[in-house]
Amino acid sequence: MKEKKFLEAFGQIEDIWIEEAISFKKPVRVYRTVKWAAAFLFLCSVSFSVCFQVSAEFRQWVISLFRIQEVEQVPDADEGKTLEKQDGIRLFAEQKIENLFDVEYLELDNIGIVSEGGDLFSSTIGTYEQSKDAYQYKTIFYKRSGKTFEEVPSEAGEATVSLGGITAAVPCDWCNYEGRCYASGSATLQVEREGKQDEVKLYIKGSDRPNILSVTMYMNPEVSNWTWNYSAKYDLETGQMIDELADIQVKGRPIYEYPVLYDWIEAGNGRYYVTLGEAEGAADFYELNAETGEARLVREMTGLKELIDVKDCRELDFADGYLFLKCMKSQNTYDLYRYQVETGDCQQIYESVKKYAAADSKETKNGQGEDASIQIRELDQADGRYDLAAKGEKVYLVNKMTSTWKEIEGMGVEALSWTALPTTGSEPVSMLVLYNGFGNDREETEMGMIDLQEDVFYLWKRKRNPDFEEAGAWCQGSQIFLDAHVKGRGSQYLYIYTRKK
Amino acid sequence: MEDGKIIELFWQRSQQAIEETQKKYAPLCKRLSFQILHNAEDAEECVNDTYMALWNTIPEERPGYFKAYICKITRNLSMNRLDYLLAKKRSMDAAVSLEELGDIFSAENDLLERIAAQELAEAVNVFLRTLPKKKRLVFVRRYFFLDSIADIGQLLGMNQNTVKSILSRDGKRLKASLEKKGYPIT
Repeated sequence: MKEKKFLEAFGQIEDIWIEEAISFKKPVRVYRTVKWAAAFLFLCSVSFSVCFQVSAEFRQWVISLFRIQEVEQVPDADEGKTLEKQDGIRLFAEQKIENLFDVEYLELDNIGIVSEGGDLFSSTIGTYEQSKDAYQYKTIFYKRSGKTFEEVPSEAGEATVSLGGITAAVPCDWCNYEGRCYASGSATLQVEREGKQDEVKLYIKGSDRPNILSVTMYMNPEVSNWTWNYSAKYDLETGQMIDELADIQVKGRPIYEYPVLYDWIEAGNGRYYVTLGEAEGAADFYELNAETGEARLVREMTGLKELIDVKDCRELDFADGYLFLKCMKSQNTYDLYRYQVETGDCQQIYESVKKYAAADSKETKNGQGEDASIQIRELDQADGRYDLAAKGEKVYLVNKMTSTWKEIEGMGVEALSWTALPTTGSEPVSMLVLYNGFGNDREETEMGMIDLQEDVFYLWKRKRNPDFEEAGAWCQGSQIFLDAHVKGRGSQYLYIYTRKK
Repeated sequence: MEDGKIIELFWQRSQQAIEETQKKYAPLCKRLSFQILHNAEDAEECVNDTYMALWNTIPEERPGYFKAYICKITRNLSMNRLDYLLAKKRSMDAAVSLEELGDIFSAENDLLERIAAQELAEAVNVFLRTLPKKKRLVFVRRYFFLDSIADIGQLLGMNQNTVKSILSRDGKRLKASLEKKGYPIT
């Protein structure tokens, strides 16, 4: 993969260029009047320091000013636009963010909390073990309780797992919460097989059933470029493995004997999709059916000869799920098909569309002789079923499940390069959020939210508190989470914006 | 705390070294990892692994540029984690979306496949040295920190078309310089 090689090369650039990029601040022009103002401010600050030293009341007032104060506002020109029923997705500029979201700022006491789904959160803490001169990690689970987080009882131990003839005890932490099992654990082993040393990595995660862990084994990941992995379930109550693919064979060989085995999709009802083969370039997509024990070549099932990718859609119920199948037409253009797992029905969604590229489009057209009139920005990490499509100057939201295109009022083609917030958790996605200027030191950034139920595109300018650094943002159900740190202090806040009903 | 003092703490095997690193650099590392992985949980784990890697490597090395050193470790761990996530297929295909590279290093030539990794890294460093500061910032923000075009435009006060144009035109200059070094397009 050429992108990967290029990015690896960029990972080795000289330190000085990295420091230069981190330290860069947009220069601010200083006018003469500003200099006078600066002198005046200096005098004020001297008086301020004196007052601060001598008056406790004054100190308290000053401290109150430095609490988190975020202002989220919309461009004036759009203010108060009336909501009229029309086709497509209407632009609406909301004067106050509080009208759209309940906004909370939770101080996390530096526990590195992340959301697991629902109201469950987890934090992985490293503790130094003097005897081993090493860090050991422990995952603690929390649930929200008002403005604080309450620890959820969990267990720590070792799961003795067996996969592909290898047995290992994997340390892990887990808890059952609201009908699901949440877990985290990993182990790396050196195993001697057929006279050679193999590195085996085992990862444990939770599952949608209580007391059931999901175990994934990677064989020689650094050498094989992570192109071999195999998963099964582990029952915490019985201590038994549940491996429903153990008996499936391709061309007379068990699938786990193939040197290339990766890109798994679990599609429900015992159906799995996987890339499998003797070598990476020669691997192909297979459908595995655990109930019938059959393996079928996806290319043959669908008749799509140019198939290069099989994608799932995370938020769907795979009992009657769909897959999206991509076929390349030329270097940058592709066709996309929707494949219904149960019925085998295959329908075309796009014909000869171009993947949105950040490069200068004029040069691309002239240089490569390609002229796809529709550009597609895939929102895979945001949901999986939606894309943004640009046709001329118009931008559309495409629902690939229903093949419906809705024009987004007020969204320009440049928004295709905005950051789309990823979604986590298993709740249905109700909004897509785009962010322009994420992580920048600039105080003013833009956010856009497409409400999928109301068909409204909310757009607002966001004034960020300059004392905070923002490290990550994501969506979960009807909430936006923003991970922010107080500059230089190390304390962490979680901003939670909950969509008002 | 100054970087020199933090490094000193690592040398003394003081646990405070991790705490001070975390205090100062957690947001920077987490953001870099998040840009690559688009997942807060994975990013958090990569940042934790960064501290462990620092703990293990600093007694042997004394980094001249501590900030850059940490960033390189976080980026490397995050790229590895991305490989694992891609192999497991968690809809991360668009995580590193650099389609413009397809236009620079087109499929019709296998330039990037034929060049050795180390030589490519050296060529990139030489190329960055020849660029004026603003263009270099565009390249480093895009391909080291994996910022979006829109975010780079905002940060550097450029419009998106200027950013795209720099990446496209100067990217082609990089390709031309590689070709000159004996990797002609086949």
